[in-house]
Amino acid sequence: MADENYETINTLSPIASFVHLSLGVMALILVSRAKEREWNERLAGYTISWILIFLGLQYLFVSVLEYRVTTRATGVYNNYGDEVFYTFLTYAQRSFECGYTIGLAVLPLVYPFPLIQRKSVAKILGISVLVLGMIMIPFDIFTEFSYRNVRNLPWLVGYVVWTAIYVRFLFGEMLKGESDSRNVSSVAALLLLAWNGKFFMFWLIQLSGQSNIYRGRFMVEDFIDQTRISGAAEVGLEAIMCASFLTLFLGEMWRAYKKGSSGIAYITGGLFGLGVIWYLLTLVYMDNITSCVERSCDLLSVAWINFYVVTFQSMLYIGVPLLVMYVMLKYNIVETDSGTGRIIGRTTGLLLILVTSSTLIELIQLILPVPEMITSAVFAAGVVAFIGWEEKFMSQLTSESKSISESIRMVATLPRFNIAESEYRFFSMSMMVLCVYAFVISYLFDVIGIHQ
Amino acid sequence: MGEENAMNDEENRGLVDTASDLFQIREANVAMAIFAVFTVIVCAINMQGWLSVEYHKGLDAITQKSWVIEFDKTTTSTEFQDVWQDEESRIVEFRMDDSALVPQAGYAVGMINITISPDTVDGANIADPVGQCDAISASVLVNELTAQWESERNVLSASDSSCEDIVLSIVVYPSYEGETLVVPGVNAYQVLQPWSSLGWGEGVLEVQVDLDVNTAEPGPLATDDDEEITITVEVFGFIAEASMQP
Repeated sequence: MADENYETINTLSPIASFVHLSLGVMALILVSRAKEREWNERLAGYTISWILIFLGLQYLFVSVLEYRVTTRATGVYNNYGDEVFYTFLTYAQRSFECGYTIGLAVLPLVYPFPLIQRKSVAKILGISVLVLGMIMIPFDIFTEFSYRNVRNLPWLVGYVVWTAIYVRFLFGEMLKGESDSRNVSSVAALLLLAWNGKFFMFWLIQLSGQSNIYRGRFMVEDFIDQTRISGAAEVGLEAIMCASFLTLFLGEMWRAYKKGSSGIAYITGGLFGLGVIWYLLTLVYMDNITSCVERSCDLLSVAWINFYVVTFQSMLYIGVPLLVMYVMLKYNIVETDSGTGRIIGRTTGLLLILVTSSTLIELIQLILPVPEMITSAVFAAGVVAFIGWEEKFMSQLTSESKSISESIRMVATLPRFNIAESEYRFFSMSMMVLCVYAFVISYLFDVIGIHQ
Repeated sequence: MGEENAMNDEENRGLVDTASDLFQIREANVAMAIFAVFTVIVCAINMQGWLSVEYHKGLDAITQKSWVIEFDKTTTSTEFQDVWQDEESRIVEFRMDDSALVPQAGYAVGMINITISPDTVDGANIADPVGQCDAISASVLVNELTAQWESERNVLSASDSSCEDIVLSIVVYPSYEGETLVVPGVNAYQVLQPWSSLGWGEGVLEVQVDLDVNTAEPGPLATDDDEEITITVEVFGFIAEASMQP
């Protein structure tokens, strides 16, 4: 990395890559063993596993790029210079990002409340994944990633569908006394928080229009600036993201007021507070942030960068796998009840907690001058405590697991389909083909030298 | 509702049916309508802010334009006058923070001219009626003074024996010539950046002057064995101003 101001950015990416890949593969094994689960839960399990694998591969390429890059613009986004921009590494990183976007577009269609209730759902999703991938990945590379936010428009599906599901089942619980609806609304909320929590912390920046100021800065400092349409698409995405977060926040506050607080209420409350802090931080560093547009780009201050790493990047790299695996274990998507499944489930839990806690401690050390001896001792104490409680924690998590499909059936219609194993395999294979396609096409485009 | 809703097998449902399950609670639908309206309002306001203000600012900030850079110049100077004896070599120091030399506030030092003038005019005076001009050599000593010591435009030493002024010069500010320039750039700030550096022209200017008196008078009777020499140091300050080329 070129400047010491930015030395903490993406330091978590190698470990995030390892965590996402490991969890993705383990979740895939556990999902493939969970043959008794409902069709939408199995499809959700496969989709989430592949999303984790896509993210892991994306972060792997981010890590390699971080080692390779020697010059970098002042930006915090992946705006590496021309030395790596038109290479296989960048193409692959962005292609796997496309894979993640596609996965995120199809997941809300089946989970928690399936909008597609057809026997051929696995085929429909598999073909959709392949078609989207065939179009999106070459489009992204050909346009030199200058339509990044147009490419991200499929995220809208998640915001709209999960928010609608959350609202429907929250009101069902609060006004109609449908107690099982809470399971559905909490899964919708957790999925929204898992995939978008990193953006939700900028809700006030998005609401107040401050995000336009950042967009102006990024326009100047990006190696290839985003097009006008891409910027407009981002404005639209941010508006719906902000509305989605405020719906979630107000819903949880209402529920907390009426029924007592919950973990989701604490998380949304924390994100609400972070949003206010980010807004104030932007005001404080306004001169610094607008420098690119007004004068010439000054590096963002170290304090801004460190806060960005501790909040946004921690949520991005650590928060996502934590919340997603919680959903998978708590809501019975994967099979952890017996034999190998139980061992893999426990390994998953251990891996997740130990790796993420050690990473967070390292992160704190990067930012605060805490002696290594103290952080090592804290980490060791944490490990001992966790190992002591691990069995109880995991058994509590899995024994209290709830089936979302059953909760839905209490209040709405959900057909039981006996979908053939081959169709699940077809869906999983189509995700794998997308993965291979992303890799191969990135390599081919690099070899052909399409941008030279 | 309850268990009667559970369909036992294999019946496909269309999107309208599934959506109707999702929108079956009126109060939730009102909340969703508020969500939609709120989204549209926030989107419209921010879109207007982006497309009509910030996008244009950003575009302006990345579009290369031609800029005319003109230099407003000032000159400050000081003189040193003294008598050199025959074959005397002397180093005269001029502190650049001397109030007589410091350019006015905001101006940077562009270059320094040093003029060494002998007292003799037209090669003749009372002491030396034949009009033999003295040989004077002068040089600027390379030292810690922050200047472009390697510049090809510098004249760091010269000599004369024809009663002419000796003019030495040092380029102080990088690339400074004092002429109007046309340069590409995205905004005035960036094109003026190369002309906004601080710290140039700080230190002590050292001028070494050697005198070798030439006279027509016979040796022991010679009265012309010295020369009054004046060293004039002129500091050319500048401030750059940029305007977009029409």
